[in-house]
Amino acid sequence: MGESSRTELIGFYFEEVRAYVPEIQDGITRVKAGDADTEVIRELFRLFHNIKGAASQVYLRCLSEVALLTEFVLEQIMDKELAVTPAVTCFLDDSVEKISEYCSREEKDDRVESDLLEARLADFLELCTQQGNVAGIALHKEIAHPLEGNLMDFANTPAQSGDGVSLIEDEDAVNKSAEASSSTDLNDMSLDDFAALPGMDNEIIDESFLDELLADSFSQNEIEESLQETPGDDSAAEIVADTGDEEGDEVLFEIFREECEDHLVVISRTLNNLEERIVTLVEFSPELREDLGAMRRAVHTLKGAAAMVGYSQLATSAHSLEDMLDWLHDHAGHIGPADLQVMASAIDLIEHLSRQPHSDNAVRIGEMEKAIAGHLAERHSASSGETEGSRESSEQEIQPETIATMATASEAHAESDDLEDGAILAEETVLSPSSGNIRVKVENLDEIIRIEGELVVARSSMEGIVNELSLSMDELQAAQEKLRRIAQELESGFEVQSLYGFGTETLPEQTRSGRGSTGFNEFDPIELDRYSKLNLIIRSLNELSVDVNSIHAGMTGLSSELQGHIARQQLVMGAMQDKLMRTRMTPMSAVSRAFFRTVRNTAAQLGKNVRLTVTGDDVFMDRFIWSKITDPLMHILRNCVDHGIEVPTVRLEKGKPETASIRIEARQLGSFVELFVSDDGAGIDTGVLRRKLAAAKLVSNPETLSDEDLLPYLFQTGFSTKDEVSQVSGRGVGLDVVLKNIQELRGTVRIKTQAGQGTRFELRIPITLSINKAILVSAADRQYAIPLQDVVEVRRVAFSELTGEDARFNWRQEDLAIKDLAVMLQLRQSAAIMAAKSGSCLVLIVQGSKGYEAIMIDEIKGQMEIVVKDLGTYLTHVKGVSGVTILGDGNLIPVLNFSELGDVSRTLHKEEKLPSPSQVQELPLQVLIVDDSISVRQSIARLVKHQSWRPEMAVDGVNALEKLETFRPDAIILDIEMPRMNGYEFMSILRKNEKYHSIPVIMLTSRTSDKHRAKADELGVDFYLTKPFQDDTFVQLLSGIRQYRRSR
Amino acid sequence: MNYQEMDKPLGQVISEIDALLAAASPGAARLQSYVAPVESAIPHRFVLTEVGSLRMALPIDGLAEVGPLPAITPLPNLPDWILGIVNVRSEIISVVDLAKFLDLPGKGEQSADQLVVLQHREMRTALPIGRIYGTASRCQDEQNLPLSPEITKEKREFFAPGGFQVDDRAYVVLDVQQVLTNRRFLEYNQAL
Repeated sequence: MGESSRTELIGFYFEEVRAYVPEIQDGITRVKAGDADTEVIRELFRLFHNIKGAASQVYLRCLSEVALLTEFVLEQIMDKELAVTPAVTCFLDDSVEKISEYCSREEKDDRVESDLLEARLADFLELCTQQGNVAGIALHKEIAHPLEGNLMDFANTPAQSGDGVSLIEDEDAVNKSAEASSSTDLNDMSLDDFAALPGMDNEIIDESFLDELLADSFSQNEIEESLQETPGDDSAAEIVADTGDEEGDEVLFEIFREECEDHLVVISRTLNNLEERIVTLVEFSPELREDLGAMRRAVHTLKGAAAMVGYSQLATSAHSLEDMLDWLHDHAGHIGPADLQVMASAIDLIEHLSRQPHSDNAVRIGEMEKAIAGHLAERHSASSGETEGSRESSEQEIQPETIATMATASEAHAESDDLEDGAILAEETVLSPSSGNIRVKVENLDEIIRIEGELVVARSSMEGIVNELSLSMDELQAAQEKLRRIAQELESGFEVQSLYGFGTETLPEQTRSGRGSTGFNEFDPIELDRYSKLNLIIRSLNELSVDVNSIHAGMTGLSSELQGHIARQQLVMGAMQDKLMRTRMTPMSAVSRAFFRTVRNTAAQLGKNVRLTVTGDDVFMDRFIWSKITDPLMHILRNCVDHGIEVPTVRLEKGKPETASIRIEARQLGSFVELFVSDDGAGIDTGVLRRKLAAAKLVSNPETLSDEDLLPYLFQTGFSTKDEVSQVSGRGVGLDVVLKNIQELRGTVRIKTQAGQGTRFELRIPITLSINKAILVSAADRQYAIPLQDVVEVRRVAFSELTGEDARFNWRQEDLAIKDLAVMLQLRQSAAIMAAKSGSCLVLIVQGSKGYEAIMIDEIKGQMEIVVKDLGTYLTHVKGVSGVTILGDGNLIPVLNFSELGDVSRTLHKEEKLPSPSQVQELPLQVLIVDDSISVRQSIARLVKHQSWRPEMAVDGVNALEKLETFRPDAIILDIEMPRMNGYEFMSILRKNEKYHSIPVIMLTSRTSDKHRAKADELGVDFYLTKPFQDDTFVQLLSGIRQYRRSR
Repeated sequence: MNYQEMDKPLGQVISEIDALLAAASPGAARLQSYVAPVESAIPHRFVLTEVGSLRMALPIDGLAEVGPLPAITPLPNLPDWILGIVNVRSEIISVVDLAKFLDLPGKGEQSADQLVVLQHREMRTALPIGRIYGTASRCQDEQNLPLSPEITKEKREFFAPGGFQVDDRAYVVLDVQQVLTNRRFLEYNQAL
């Protein structure tokens, strides 16, 4: 860059700084007056940050550092690490004054600048020593240290070749010294914190320094954060959270590269757009400026991300390009192909660095920076003297020189490292097929999961069909066996008959056996077989039997093959479902930053000192669950800070450390995650709680409640222990919502407290809401699905094990009262525990809202894979039901949520509010159809189904009696003439049996005579209908029976 | 018409029939197109049915479909006027006993075998219906029959101000939107 153009740039810089001064002075005045809020300080911070950045760009290194010191002080004020004392405001005043003074000069003066820095450094050190600010002292050391001076030289004067190498060497040296001074190396934490410091661009602070700074305060496995403001790029913040070891670095690099890729796509697309539109020097149109703005944003974000993950070369290159884009966007009046060419070269380098951030490209970077700076200077000088008419010529003047610079640089580099570059190019152009990441939108992933779920359901219904098929196959086998036997009996019987019984009468019917029949009368039937027509029919019957047998064998083979395929599908789909679920899993580190922010802000608001510690950052849960659980957790944290933690003076009085501590611990336990939030505050005053409960008339006699029973009332709507309402809490809105959110996730929450020692919230959340396996149970003849992961144990409890009036039994040293699922679901009014016949009851042990619960069910129908659907557009939330699943036959099965259900039933019990009879849901009418004609059976069954009733079919009286063993109908439809046992016989048995005699029977027959009717009446048939019947009449009749049942 | 076979929304089927009829008498259709329609003179179509003991006209614009009533799956912890949910071609729709919700006289939906799906924007809710008497078409001007005394003051918001007569029987017109956006209806959890 020419000296003149540099001077000119410095002139511009001075001008810019002078423009900031009044605003800065105004801000400092407000700080001095004590009415400066965070916004004012943040604005001051921003202005000094600008001064710092721009100074380093125009090679005013010392001035940049002066601004850095001021910026640091402001940041520490924001973070409450430095108090606003007169010394601090004085320092700020002096800084702006000195900077302004220096910038009033005509041109730069290195000596004056260096003196200025020295003076400010002295003031800064004094200030930090006064307030005991360790970070400040370290920063002073960093800047004043000659070694760090080298680093600064590199960062600020990148045009000098060879500095890149020295950086690496120096970094090593610094790392070594850091290691020597501290036993704990915390590369990840330094990065984390690095991300947290706004504006601390990596050219000024390197990792080792931060390591040194932080090593004392943090331990390897716990991420702690002192209460300091950490605004920053969230995406990048997530990136740094996981690092820590080499593997972590690799992961980090992958994630970073993925993000980088996105920005590079934007950058190169914009560049292409610009190249298409700019073939000659053109004036800036709003569209062009917009495009350039988009590119600038992408470059800026990329720079930030690279700086945060410590890829300094990439950050430096992006920074240079950003400077050029800044100038073009904000100051240039026109843009030409030469600009694009410089940009393109820089982008190429950035792209290369993004793929190989660790490769040594200092020379290339230096050249690029030189080219950009040179180009900018020339552009600037050209534009200042430019007129409308001379644009074309100036473009021509600039172009060759710049391109020449870039070309020379590239050539030089190519010569020096030809081989390596070739390899790099090859790698850059190929999209690696086996590694890398692809970003998928969450909704697309959800869609895939949904489709997979539908597939599973489709497969389940196919399984059902295959099961039915094999049952039919068994029936077919029985029928085939019967056929074979009959054919054999017939054949042997007929042969005997034909031999001895038919005599000569049968002869005329004899058919020919080859030749004429009359010619063989001399033969006895034993001596010569003669075949009659019946003979032939029997023969073909036998053959048919053999055919049926072989078809059956073939079908059995196919059926078992089908079953094999289904079993395989089951395995593959299970694996697929598992993989898909895993893709949705997110570690806690993705959300834990929000917790720090919440604690920090709340503590600052309330004037308390709180340190938050998070362990288990690598615990994974479904992304959706994290998003749902974050608010409740933040609420609990706010509660801890507001209600639990005492103010510093009180803490000191109590002999506790001034800085309170809140811990979040997460750990995975099977398919659940346990989250504990504990504080070392005052704990919950149960006395106050009792008083408040009595005052709020929530409990009539709170003294009788144990602490354990008392604490759940904190989750009651409208209840708060806080006397005064503040911004933070005390409104009584919150913990009830926390409970509701957690219950909706099928999770539970418990509070434990110890007076004076602190409070602990224990949350238990399933890692995914996607239920893929459930137990199908029945209660009061209705079916329900219970997520398999919610069931701890299934066991049969003998009545002899039960104690107490509420039927308790001992399970794993716990005394559990049995609850009847049918009562919980309002299907019956009182528990039917003792009504069970077998002397025992079937009990599910589930994790409810208040610990383990024993739920009595009627029976387990099986285990199945399900897909949970929501309850439609109207019923958004039904307590105790997390959704519904559709069976293969179209039936709906509600999926129960015991975290909520137990809660509801407990409330009901406490208020002794049992459901009214109208609330008890009615069961569908059950109809047994007994008829030997399949057509009649099917047509009646269809009619019954249309009424949403449940049909069951029997082929004759014997079959009907068998069905009655397992099926209790509300009505029986009965034919008269049937094989094995006719309708009359069945009736007489039915009416004699105490169990069945009250079941209404409709006799449906084609016999219309009075004789038949009279017999039916005599046997106790309730209704006599003749075929053909009217559908309406039939339905009315059954409806009448239903009414009758209801009235009973 | 066989409702079971009907996959199209009811409104669509009826407008298709109207289109066919219009094609059959082109003169009338042409004449209609010359007359500028006045809102109160545009006929609206209704399905005529019975809810409780009240004859009710359901505007077709507020219906998504009519079909056979599938088996209702009841759910716990709901007020007694929500009967449960049904599966209509893999879509879950909740079933409401309107007579109970509106506290109308009569015996509720005990012999219902049909399902009428009410729709307002995205929300769909079904009513079990015992009988459908037919359909009718009325302009707003023709809906001037005073509401029956069974509809007390507090229930009036759920009905159009005026009803109409078909075959000497009086029908009240249900305001589907009012029902489906009613606060008590939406906050069903509070009703427990």
